[in-house]
Amino acid sequence: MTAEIAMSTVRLEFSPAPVHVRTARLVGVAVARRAGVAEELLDEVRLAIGEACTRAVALHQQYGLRDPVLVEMSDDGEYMVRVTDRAPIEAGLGLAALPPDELANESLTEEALTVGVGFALLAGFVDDLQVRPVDEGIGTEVRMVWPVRHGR
Amino acid sequence: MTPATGIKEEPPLPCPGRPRDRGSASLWLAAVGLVLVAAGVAGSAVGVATVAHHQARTAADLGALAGAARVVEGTDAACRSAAEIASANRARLVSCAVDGWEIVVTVEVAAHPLPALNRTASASARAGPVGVAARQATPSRAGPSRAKTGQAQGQFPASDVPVGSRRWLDAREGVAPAHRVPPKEVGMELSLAARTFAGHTVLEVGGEVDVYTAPKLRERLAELIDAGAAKVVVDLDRVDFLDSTGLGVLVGAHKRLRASGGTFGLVCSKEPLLKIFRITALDQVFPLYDSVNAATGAAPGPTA
Repeated sequence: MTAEIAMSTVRLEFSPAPVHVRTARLVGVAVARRAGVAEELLDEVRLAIGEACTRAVALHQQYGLRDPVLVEMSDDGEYMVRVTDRAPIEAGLGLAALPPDELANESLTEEALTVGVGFALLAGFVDDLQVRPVDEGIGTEVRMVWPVRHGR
Repeated sequence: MTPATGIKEEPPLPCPGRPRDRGSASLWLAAVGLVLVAAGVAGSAVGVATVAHHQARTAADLGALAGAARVVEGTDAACRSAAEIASANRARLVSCAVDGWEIVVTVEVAAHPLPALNRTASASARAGPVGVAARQATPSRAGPSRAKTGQAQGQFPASDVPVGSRRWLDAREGVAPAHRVPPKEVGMELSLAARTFAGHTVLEVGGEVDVYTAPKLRERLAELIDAGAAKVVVDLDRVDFLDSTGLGVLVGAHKRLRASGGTFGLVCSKEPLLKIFRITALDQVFPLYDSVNAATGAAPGPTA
């Protein structure tokens, strides 16, 4: 992170392994609390960061990528978390929330269901959510923004 | 500030990279000799179990290195060489596979920490030219991965262990591998306790159910169902965290029981968790109850 940007940033990179997702959640919530995100939103922050990281880990594992997953948390009048994976774009953007009747579909695999449910959770818990290709290179960025209290 | 700041660009996988063979047989063998000395000195100072562990790792590392030097001569020659080196380190070669330019070696060392206690320490190592690993490995364990491996009593199959082309660099320098796989400790994050209540099998879940711990929950539910449980209730009231992976496991158990004529209910009375079920529409899939009594029919009425 460059010095001229006048905001507080925490960057976390972790190997794409499930065991590290919990660490990312803990860090994300700690930084959110420090940034001034309302206490009642912290459960949602925790869940959303967990889902975004779980999704990134699953994509890296699916594509056999050992590249780290990047989590950037920044506090610039709002709390923004960006989770970046390095998986091919078509995989990252192929996500869609599943309608309820699909969830009960017998033929739906647990993996497909988990992906659909994960996306439903992200969309449901994050008002300001963007999933888009990274600006440079290969990968997808999940960008989540929460309001912070002022005058902290 | 761009999202890609600080991230090096990588071509998409699968994408065969060009092997860059920067090693040579004499270098490999010199490395083997150096580490044999280093390992021999270091090994004598510690306890039996640790020694066995260390010995297994060393044997795996050196075996892989020795094998890698002969990969060009074919799998037989490479693995024979790996077996000789493993044996010289008092280890037994358990498996040996050549994958492109790389060789993956797993060895076992017998240890006797107590007179009546026999254990085996096992370790895996992968060696090959730097830069080749990522692009040539199969997707299931592919990757420009770290080095390393090694777990007492062979808890991890070799394929689960992140291994990589940097292994040989570590070995050449005679240092302990930098990337250890720690023993898996799920208990700290997830608790599972099953009991029988009012004709139902009640599984009380506590802690965090996430992408890391959910496999334990899946396993436990499968064990219970395999053992004949047909009316299953999962009590989520002591769950602090539940993510999509955990929900996927619960749906899986639900489907399995429904297909075999069983029942599956969830006890969930806390609002944060209920919100998760509502947002995902899974409140329309699961019978949700506010108590174990309600779920087992000791009192009527689902809350959902």
